[in-house]
Amino acid sequence: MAEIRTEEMLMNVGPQHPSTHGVLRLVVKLDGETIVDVDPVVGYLHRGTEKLAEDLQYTQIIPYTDRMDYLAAMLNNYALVHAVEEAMELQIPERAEYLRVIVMELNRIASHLLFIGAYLLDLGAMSPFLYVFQDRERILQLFNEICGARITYNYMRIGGVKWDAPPGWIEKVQQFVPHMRESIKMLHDLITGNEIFLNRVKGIGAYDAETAIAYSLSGINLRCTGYKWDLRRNRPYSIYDRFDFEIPVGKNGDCFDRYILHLEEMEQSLRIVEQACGQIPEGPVMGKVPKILRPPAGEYYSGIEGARGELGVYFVSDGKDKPYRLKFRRPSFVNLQLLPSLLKGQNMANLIAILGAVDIVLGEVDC
Amino acid sequence: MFGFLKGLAVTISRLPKKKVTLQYPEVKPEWPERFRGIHEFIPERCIVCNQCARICPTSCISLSGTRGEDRKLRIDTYDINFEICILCDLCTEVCPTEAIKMTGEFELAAYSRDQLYKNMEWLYQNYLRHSGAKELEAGTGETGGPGEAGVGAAAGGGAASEQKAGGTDE
Amino acid sequence: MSEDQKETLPPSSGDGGRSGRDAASSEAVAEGVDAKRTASPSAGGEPGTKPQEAAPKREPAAKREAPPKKDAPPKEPDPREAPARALLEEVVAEVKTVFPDAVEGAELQKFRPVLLIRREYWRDVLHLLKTGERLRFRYLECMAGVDYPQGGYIEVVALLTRMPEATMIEAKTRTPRDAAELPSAVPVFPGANWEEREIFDLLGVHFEGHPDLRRIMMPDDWRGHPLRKDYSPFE
Ligand code: SF4
Ligand code: SF4
Repeated sequence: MAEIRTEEMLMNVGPQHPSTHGVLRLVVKLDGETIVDVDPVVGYLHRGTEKLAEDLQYTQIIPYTDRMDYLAAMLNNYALVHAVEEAMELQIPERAEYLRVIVMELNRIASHLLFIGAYLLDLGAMSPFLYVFQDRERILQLFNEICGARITYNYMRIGGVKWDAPPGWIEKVQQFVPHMRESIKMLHDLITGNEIFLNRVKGIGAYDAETAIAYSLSGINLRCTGYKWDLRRNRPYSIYDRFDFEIPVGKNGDCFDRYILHLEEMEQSLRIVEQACGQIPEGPVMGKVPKILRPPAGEYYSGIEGARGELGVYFVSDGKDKPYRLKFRRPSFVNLQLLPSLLKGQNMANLIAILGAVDIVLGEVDC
Repeated sequence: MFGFLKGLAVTISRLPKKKVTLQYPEVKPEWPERFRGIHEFIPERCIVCNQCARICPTSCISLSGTRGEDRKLRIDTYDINFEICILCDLCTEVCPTEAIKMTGEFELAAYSRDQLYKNMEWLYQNYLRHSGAKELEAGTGETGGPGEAGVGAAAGGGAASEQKAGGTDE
Repeated sequence: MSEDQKETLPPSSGDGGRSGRDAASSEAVAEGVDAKRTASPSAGGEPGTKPQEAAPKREPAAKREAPPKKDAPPKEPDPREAPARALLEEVVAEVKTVFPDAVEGAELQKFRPVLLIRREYWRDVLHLLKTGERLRFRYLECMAGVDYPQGGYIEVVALLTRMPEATMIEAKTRTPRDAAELPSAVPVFPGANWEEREIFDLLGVHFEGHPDLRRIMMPDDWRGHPLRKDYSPFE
């Protein structure tokens, strides 16, 4: 049999592709069905938030952070206000801290739900997407009631939160918790046992903890390898040290572990929400803050556990009301770096499975 | 095979449940009180302190005022450019007199960019459409029509249909 | 900004209390202050000439230390202060045993040890910090670049974490603005890849030895580096 002449082929996946979760372009070099090389091209959504921030007062930057990881904007809000509060050593009222924790954990759940829906959609299962949207809708409704927006919350302020919870809101959250537990069980029934799904994700895109650490991965992308690293525990901020919750970790570092960790983390977040709703004290929601916020000159870094990993804010203040330089350490951006080496040698169909499990939000990658 | 059937059972159990879809253009969603939609503006409350324009992160508010005979500042023009407004609510947060507020209006689509520049007249009409109407019903409304507030009473075409709401309370 | 700075400079350079606290940082402080007094304004000349490199270094540090006098009165030594200082001394000592003249300065920033590394040693020191027997800061948490036009340099910052304990240190280095070049950290931390590309793209720092130094956010044919303070989009 004569040898067949083969040729490598370059293929573009994205930037407009339903499975790239935004405007991500992957230039894939293919040898038949096998991926030889991948070059992710980002920057299509670059809005220069960091540059814009240099011209804005700290309060004015908060709405911009909403637009980075738009699936978990509460956490973005918090990352910024937390960094500034740490720098200025402000006292935050208890009630505000609790409200923050509740909305952050709810937002984490909403974000993880969307991950599950979108991931299954990538893999070809349509219905989970619709199921998770129902539950996510309930969370967005709760957010809508507390801050008047469904995606871009702009809820946190330096020194507290914008609004106290409206009457009955805490009770609504408490009712939501058991409902969500049911939903998680339902999602397990619906997806976790499905053989087709398992074949697509088990053992796919695996890496070990050493690689993950070398590549600075964080969040579920790191924990799926079995390495227990969660800033809520390892470097406690806010009031997370008061709650009893676990850090679920994976074993194999494959796509399945990443998927299952999202579900398990949602359960832990529910536990936190439940405890926080039980403990929340009455009181003011806004601390005493100077009218014009001027963090003392210096360099500050503070990282929180975002929905996708460590969400850090590094800023340099020159003592003015605007940051001299503000840098966001965006977990999606850092996590995406590992993608090319994960994809090498895989076949084309796994590209979507592996990319989806990294759980990126392009608004955050490009900032 | 078993896991697959389990999933199917979930799907089937969902079949008799009530539908959650909202038939949007016919049925409008109900927004909570705090909903941050398009602004409304009440000219006679404004003291032209310029705080809203200063806090706006996208600088989409432009306003001007003059000092009247009674040495009070009166607002002359007040425009919001909804092309770049991000509905962040910071302007309403800083306004000391609640002259600028947000409504439940959220449909902003327009055929041209120019239509997204909303002037004071439009924003006042928006007030009459929203909280103004509610306040009237409750009998607590600000009585000042556009003419009294120094707004050209000759309303733009878009607001014409709402004129009666502004006129009847005098 | 520059006015502020000038006003706050004199009190901060005379902070006797601080410089006495530890040997490592007092040395750096002394060197910095001297250098500042004798420095010629032409900062960021040829790399390698020590006095010139040291000259711009002191400026922002002084500016940073000025405000504490505002919140000084109620301040007792924070419980976080002592361990952070001990860690700083330990790390500086450890680095100095291998690279005696690599550390240009050391200070605490909000209880986080900060080491200013001479840029020729940048990659080597990072490698040491990652692998050193008693250091083991093997997780690169964040990398950022900051432009200081008055000093004439760009600062590149790497935040490193020791893994299970979550103690963090900050290593930074400086490179002149007009010939911004640094050894790349990618061979040490593969995760620095995109961060360095971003710094290259937005601040124009060339990283020697980077496997794939291209623009990442801006289009490939973009001119200029947007995060530089003197960047203007209308050129
Ligand atoms: S909502 Fe925000 S962006 Fe819009 S006008 Fe008010 S301050 Fe400006
Ligand atoms: S903040 Fe309120 S009162 Fe002041 S100018 Fe704006 S709308 Fe008028």
